[in-house]
Amino acid sequence: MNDFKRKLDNMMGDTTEQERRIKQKVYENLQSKRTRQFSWQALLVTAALPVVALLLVFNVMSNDQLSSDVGPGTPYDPLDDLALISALQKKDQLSTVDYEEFAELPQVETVDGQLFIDNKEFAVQWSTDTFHTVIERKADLYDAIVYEPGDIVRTLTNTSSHLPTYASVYYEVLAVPGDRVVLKDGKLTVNGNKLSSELTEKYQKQNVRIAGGYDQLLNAREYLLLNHFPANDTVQGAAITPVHKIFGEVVATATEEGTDSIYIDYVTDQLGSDYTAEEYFDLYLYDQLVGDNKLPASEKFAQSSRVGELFLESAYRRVTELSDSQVEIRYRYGREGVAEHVFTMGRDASSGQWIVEE
Amino acid sequence: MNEMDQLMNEHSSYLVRIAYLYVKDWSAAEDVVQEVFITYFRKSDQFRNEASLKTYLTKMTANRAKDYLRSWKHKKDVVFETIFATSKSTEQQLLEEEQLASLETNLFKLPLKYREPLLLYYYDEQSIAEIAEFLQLNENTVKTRLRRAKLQLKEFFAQEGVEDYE
Repeated sequence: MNDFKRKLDNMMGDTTEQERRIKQKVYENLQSKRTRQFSWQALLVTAALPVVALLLVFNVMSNDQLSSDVGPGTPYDPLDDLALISALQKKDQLSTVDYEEFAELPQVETVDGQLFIDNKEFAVQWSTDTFHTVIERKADLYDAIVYEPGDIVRTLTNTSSHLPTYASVYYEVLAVPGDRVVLKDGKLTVNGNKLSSELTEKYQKQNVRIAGGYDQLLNAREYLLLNHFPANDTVQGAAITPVHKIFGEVVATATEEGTDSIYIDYVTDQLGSDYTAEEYFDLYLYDQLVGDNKLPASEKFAQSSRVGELFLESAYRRVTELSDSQVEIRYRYGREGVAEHVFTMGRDASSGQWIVEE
Repeated sequence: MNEMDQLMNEHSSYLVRIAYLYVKDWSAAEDVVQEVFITYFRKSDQFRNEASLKTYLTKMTANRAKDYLRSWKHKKDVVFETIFATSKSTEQQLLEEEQLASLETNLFKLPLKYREPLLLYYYDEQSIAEIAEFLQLNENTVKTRLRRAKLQLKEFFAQEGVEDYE
């Protein structure tokens, strides 16, 4: 037995009582099933159910509507990250964030039920000039509840969405699809429970408000996000946000010293040829979205209004090697009426780097 | 002792611990394991001996535990827990934190996607390849998640360091 397993066993202690109850419940359950009276009606209904279900499946869902084709299902990982903080620090665009306040956040992650970013890992004084957050994009973006309450996420906020226009802020997921969110007279409740936290008290001091008033059941692709670093006197407290505007979950930080990352190489102008076509493809999207426009402009991206979505939908794409120097990247959504997107990446003979072919 | 007794005696201790490491709630863990046994006793003919019975039951337990975590019941419990937590005094919270073992506190701070490979690797002692197959991830992703999980719990791995899982 390994040492960690022993520690876990010690942590869990004696489970005799739990085992006894399990056994008792299993016997009770099996016994009660056996003593139930036999019923022809029940048998008929039971037998008919699969038939009805099959009929429904065949009639309601045509083949091309099946949502089982949800892409590779593996989030792009581990260098699935952004250099946004780093890039924006260099451009001095983070001035709206109060760094002293940021650094004073408590070490613990939970304060009155609100999850804060850990001070030790995210505080500015700890970081190097080129630290950045590692974002994990989600698979099944449109088909499952991919974030949980408490997750810290980053959003694509500098676009035409209704969200605050800060370039760099963190959001906490407060409510997920299926939750009922009510904002009335400045009071926010989720499933009938009022939100109360130091953060919301701080909002009062800073005169930060959550804009609007609504009573809404979040649909399958909506999340309620709370802004962790709003500026004073604003209405940027929280917003219902569609899933395709959320970059991904913040899972770690990376540094120039400790991480091999195409984004750090990009930010520090040390881009080499060691990265895959897919990594380069993401970098082109990033460069177009929030970067410095250091890479050659792509006509294909310029014509697309879905650059942000293409970045987020990485789990829906497949990469096919056409030759040593050419790779196809195809987005397939497996749904009727949703077009596929196809790109070709070619390796530049002189630099060895991958570029988006027009 | 009948066959059912024997099987439950043999596996319940291990399975309820695995379930707890997923769901962080003994009562829910009991329900999960209870369902696993009931399903097995009703459909044991479907068990095809391709894997050991322990492996089979462990996978069933892990899947049921994840179903529970995805359920609305669990979400409601979390919301209730959050609201309840906000009404507690600071002293009460401190007392509770002291009572909780440090490992437990830190372990359950890990999101499931990191906790799951960790418990499968260290508690269920599965190989990277087995975990990758079970979770339908590639092996590198499993290794990365293990590294990150271990990094978060590094104080409990003091003597081992963070290896590369190669």
